[in-house]
Amino acid sequence: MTATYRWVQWNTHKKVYDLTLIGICIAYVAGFVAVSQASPEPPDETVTLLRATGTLAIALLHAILLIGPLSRFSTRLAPLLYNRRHAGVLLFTIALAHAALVTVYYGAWGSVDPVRALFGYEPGLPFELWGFVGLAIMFVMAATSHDFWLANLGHRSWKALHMLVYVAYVSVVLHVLTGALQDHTSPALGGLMLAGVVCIVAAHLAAGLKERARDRAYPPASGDWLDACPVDDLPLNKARVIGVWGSERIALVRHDRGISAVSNVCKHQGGPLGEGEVIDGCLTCPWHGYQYRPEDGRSPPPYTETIPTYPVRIVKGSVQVCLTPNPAGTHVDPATPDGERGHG
Amino acid sequence: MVRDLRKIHLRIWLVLGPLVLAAVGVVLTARAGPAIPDAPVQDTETTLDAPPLDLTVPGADS
Repeated sequence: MTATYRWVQWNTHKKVYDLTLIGICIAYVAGFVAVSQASPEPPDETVTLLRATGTLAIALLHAILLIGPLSRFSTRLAPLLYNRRHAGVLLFTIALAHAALVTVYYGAWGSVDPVRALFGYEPGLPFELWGFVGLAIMFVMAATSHDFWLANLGHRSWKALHMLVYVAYVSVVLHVLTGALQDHTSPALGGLMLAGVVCIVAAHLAAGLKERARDRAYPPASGDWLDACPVDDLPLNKARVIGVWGSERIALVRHDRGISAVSNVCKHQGGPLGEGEVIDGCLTCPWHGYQYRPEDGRSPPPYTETIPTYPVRIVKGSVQVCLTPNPAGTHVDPATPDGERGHG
Repeated sequence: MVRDLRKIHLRIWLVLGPLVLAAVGVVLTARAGPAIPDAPVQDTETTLDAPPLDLTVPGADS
């Protein structure tokens, strides 16, 4: 969470995350170069480097794209989701290094005019164009990855802009299909590409279908109040996602002041608040740690984010939630088993 | 809002997934070469019936 804008809100987790990621990338490039140069007919050093950066960029793109859908199956992946944007910026840097090496090696040293190659004037498939499109999208995403842009563009526009990563992915796949796969006869590269695409498609479809099934399993609204669950089913300082057919989900929270209900949608990036837990008296988003007070849906000062709240009551030991949300930031007294009913 | 985004994600991949997989499949199949071998070019019957080649060089001693 940020009250003011800084380049990066560094904390221990982010430092460990970034250093680990950079270490893996350096180890990959070093390993790739060592293996390539140890082969009987080692390629030129620059060619080795541009192959290393190219394959690393593709591998990292696949890893980044898998984090989202896989985190719908296991909350253990939440730490990877926490700083996914850092991985995206690193991906752009590696892809830019690859593009720069290719341009310098094949362009400035004389065999191919990069502009002619880019726009298809050279004979053969214009695979450079696909790579350029992918790189351009990655640039836009890296440049707008800061919370400054998220706050000023709005969550929905920002998310729509960053869904361009799928276009970038298709461009990169086409770049490989019409480029490297045309030159290399080894089945390994083609097999790896196919395996990567299958994993990405399968993970996204599986996650999407799982969420759709979950939405469809919710009961239709019957009246103003939803019978959520028995009080005893809600552990202290935990939350639960509830909902009705066709409506946005609700996060039901049990905290030390009672039971409250707020929107399940985090104001930051739409994270599932109901899958988070109560930390320091606030419901904490599992994605990026944004916090909200359960009673009024407001972030603790100095933060200013607000989310809608819902009236809650307890009837004969069962928690009921009113399906009509209050405006964001509206205070609702928590329902308690003794007092039976919250209001607001 | 998020519910709509979830729907959009699923729809995108229901369309994009088969297209990307098909593109990879087509390229890999093309790289593997034709599955059916080429038909023989030489017609043996015609070859047998063809007149023998005249290998004699004009003016050379026999």
